[in-house]
Amino acid sequence: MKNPFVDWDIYRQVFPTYITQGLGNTILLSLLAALIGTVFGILLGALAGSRHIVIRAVSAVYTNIMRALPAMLTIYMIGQGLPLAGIKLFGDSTYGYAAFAIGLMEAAYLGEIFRSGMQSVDRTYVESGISFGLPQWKILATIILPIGIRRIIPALANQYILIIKSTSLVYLLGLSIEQRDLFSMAKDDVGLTGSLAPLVMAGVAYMILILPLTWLVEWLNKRLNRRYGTAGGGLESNTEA
Amino acid sequence: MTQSQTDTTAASQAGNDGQSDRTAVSFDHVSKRFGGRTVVDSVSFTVEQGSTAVIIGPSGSGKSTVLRMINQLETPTSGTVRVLGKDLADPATDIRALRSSIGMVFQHYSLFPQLNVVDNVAFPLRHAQGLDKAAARKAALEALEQVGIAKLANHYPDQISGGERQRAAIARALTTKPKIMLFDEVTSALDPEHVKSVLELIAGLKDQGITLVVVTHEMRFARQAADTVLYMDGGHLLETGSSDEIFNHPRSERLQAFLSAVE
Repeated sequence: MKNPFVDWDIYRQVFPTYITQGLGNTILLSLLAALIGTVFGILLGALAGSRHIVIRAVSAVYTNIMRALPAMLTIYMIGQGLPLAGIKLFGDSTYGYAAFAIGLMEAAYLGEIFRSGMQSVDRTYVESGISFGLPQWKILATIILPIGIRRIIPALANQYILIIKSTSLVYLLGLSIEQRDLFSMAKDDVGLTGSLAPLVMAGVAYMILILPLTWLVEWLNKRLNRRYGTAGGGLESNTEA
Repeated sequence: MTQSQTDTTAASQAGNDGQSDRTAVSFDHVSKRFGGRTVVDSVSFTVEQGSTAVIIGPSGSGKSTVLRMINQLETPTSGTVRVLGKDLADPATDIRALRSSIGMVFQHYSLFPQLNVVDNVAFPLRHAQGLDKAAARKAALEALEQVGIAKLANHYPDQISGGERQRAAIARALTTKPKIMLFDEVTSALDPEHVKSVLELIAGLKDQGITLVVVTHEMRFARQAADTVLYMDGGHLLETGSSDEIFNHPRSERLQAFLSAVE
């Protein structure tokens, strides 16, 4: 019986390229998608807290659609659909559409996290900002986000880790050779070699990236609990983050 | 300003209902309804600049709502609120500019939890008035000196007592040199031993010519510090008068009952 996953020759051949190229592209894609997702997520979270029902509805509709559709479907529709519709936001760069697609999809999940964080900020803090004469955007930036974010850092960090894993879905869109992320490279190498061993190496590369991040999140969690805890800082949570 | 200049300014600021330009706050038949509930019912009063108005009354009488309409945290359903001569409902009124002339201190959650005391106090200077970090910090430390808690500058809100937090919150509101200070039951959540120092601090502000509007349950403070007392009950402004009139010669039965219950 042959083990389809073990092939030390293939391991030695492909692993260096995954680290030098695949990992870098995966990281870059993740950062771009995370940035886009965060910007739109904060916007969605802020809109969800609006006093106007129409604005709240816009945010809710977007979030519900994105959460109801399978990730592959969403990424394919945005990534293939936009350029075909003539909306050439990123020219011919599949990379751009890929990051954009993941970012928009993740914005729905990040938006829910930001919304929960923002709404857990006691109204009195916001009213202090109003009483100082601050405009709404400054209240958001200097009061709501700094206070609300501490409670949601663990949830945010976990979502960012999920983004890294979501980048593997861009395989669908077909990146150019140099742009390929980890999974795309591994999948191509499986085709070239007829062996599943490349997938094992890709898996190792993902773990090298993600495991330290999960440990970082755990450390962050412990630090936050020490500093703020349940009785500290006058923070009283009335919703779960 | 020369005398003739102040006269011109005063004339242009005088409301057309003949109110004096020395009026800091005026409510003209102001009502507030939340859904079906009338929380404030046709309340009218004026507060002269530099004077101290204390609003007393049972819980749920609309005291806080009245206070919050002064800096437009709440807007009236009907009636007119004028602050420093400006009609708050007038679209031409720059509410945000007006708000920086009004300082407010709340009952709790006064200080931002993620900032230490001096950064809290410096906050409005930095973000509302655009001072740079060093200048704001300097002014904040001076304000903390004035309220006697400069030594707590680098502490965080959860590391100091409730009374110290409220004093820091007062210092913060004072940094923008407001003409009017609003206090919303600022000692109600404090342990008794901390109440006195906070009330003394508030009373001390009278000397600075700031108009004070204080919602409180502290009757002794009201007696001693108030120039005008407003008694609210069930959303109505039942009685107003000087401290002596209200406390020593209450006219309505409800006020008499209230006073005998609380004193």
